[in-house]
Amino acid sequence: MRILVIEDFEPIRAAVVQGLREAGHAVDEAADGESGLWHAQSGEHDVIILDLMLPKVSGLEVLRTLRRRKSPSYILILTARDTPEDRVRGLDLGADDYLVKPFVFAELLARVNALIRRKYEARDTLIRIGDMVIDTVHRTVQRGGKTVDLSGREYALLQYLALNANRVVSRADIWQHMYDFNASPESNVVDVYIGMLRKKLDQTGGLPLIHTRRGQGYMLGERE
Amino acid sequence: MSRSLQRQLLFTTTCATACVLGLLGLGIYFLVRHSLLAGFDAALIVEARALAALIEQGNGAIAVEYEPQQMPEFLPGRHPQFFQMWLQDGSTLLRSPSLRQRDLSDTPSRPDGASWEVRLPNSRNGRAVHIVFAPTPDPNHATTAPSETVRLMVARESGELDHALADLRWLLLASCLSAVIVCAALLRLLVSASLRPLRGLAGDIRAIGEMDLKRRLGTRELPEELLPVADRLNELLERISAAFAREQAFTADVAHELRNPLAGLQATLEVNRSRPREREAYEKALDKCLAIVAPMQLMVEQLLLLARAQSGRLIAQRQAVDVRILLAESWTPFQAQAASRSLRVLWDGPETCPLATDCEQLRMIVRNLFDNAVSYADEGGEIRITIVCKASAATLMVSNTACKLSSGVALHAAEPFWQGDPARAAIGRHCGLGLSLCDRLARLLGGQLTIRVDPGRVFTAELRLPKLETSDGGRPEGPEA
Repeated sequence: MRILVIEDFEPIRAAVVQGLREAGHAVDEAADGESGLWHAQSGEHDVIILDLMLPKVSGLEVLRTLRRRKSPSYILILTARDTPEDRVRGLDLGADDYLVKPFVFAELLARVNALIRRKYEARDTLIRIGDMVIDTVHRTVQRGGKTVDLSGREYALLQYLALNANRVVSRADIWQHMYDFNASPESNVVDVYIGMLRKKLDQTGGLPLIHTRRGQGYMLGERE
Repeated sequence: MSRSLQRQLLFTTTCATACVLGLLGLGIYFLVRHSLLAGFDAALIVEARALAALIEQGNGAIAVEYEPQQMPEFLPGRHPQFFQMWLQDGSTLLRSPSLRQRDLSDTPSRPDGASWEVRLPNSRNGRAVHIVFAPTPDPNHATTAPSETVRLMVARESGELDHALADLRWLLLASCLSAVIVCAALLRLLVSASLRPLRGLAGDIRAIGEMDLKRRLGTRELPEELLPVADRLNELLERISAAFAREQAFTADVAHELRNPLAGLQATLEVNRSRPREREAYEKALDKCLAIVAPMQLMVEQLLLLARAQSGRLIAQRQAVDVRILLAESWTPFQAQAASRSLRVLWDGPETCPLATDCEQLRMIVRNLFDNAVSYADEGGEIRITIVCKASAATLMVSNTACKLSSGVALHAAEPFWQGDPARAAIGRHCGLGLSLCDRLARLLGGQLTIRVDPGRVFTAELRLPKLETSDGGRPEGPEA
């Protein structure tokens, strides 16, 4: 999934970006409110992690602007302000979650994943498609009771397809949600990963789950 | 046991009332007693005079015309009266039949008309009067012999009078006690009603909790004696409330300033610990942690120094210092940073400026001012360092261009954790304690730090220090500009 981190304190920003990337997310980053707003408006981020005390444009102003422009991104406020008034104000302005610094990174990751599930209306942490079970907490995949070993990128692709199960997703959509702003777009990288994923899933002997729709994209589901 | 003002007031007023009523009762008693005794004694005197009229003198002898039946009160009976007459030689001239040949206690030394209490021959209490008279000459037996004086004592039982006085004593005692009890009850009501505003005030004060410092005492219905108390308490509450607010703000500022670096440390450590990594990755993470810790350490040191300065535990050790040399030495660490930001640095002032002050504390102030100027001046901007050295004081001014603060806002610059940037983007480099510390140190050195923003957006920190003697009593040497 694609995430934007807007945080001016470099050590926090760097650690959060690194941790999210290692968790398989595509992450963009911004050190002030102005560039954060620019990133948020130019890319389709599933979740935006937003500090409140930002140079140039404050976090609350970024939040207000994004909600005014109907941004579909879920927003998690990550701030040192801990008073109930601050929390209420942030949530009232349209934030979806609020976490106070200092924080445990595992909690931040869990909250980000929860927001992603909310965005794709997947309440259960286990996603079942046919005989395949995806555990989004432990990031494991089983098919027909057998574990399927996937790389971080392959898992991220499968999770995105699973969250959009039975819907056709285009290569552009996949690119938007799997690669950050700095990645150089290559024409067939999505196809290559789809091929590798399809191969690993089909090794267990079950029916094909990833289907190609010519000219449209890919669909994950039991039936073509 | 705590003392109750109401009980104390009630006790003292009741005691005072009892004393007044007691004295009044005694006064009445003695007045009535005196009056009754005077009447009793007057009656005895009348009887004595009547007896005296029966004594005549003639032919060199004293004649007694006393007939007992004419005066039956002196006959023996249940409540007889007594009299006895003595001649000058002490011999008894006549005694009342009621005495039955016994004597009344003779008291020749008593003056004429004296009265006193006496024990009667019938063993009862009574009163007696004593008169001394010269018998009336008998007109039928005129004589030239000198007249002889006769002493007469008349006594009567005073039992009825004693009973009446005893009744009067009991009546007065009962009346006084009743009056004291009634007064005590009335006084209790009065004292209670009078102390009601005080109880109300105490209740209001008791109702003020430690977390309810915004509450104030009502003064509209308070009596004028309590108004100053309530007013002073309200002022005290105001000051306590302000102190609590400052403390809370200070704590919140400290917490906020520590949260970001702590979050950076925690996130860096957790993420790097989440999976095995190469040695270089760990070293990079540790370096990053160290870089986060250094400003935290500086902040803690500044906080400690500020606390020491505020509590008066920091003492200035004055010694001879040349401000110009100290400024030049202090500027050295900032030269590279100023050059990297293309800042133009202008020096103005005499070549030497001697001063008696604490060298290290002045150095701390100067470094903070230089750090601020280099950090907040605009890229390619200007820093001006000015020294004005006068006979009574030295003034140091550090100015930088492109200040983003208004002159009104800059007034708060010396408050702890105050930062001009609401985003506090300088986390890790400036935490808002520097100017506060400078202000405290300046005051410790007997000087003053003034912050101002000129219309041209020039930020100036002006430090004025008096030229005092050194700690060993000397004055700094050197020419004075």
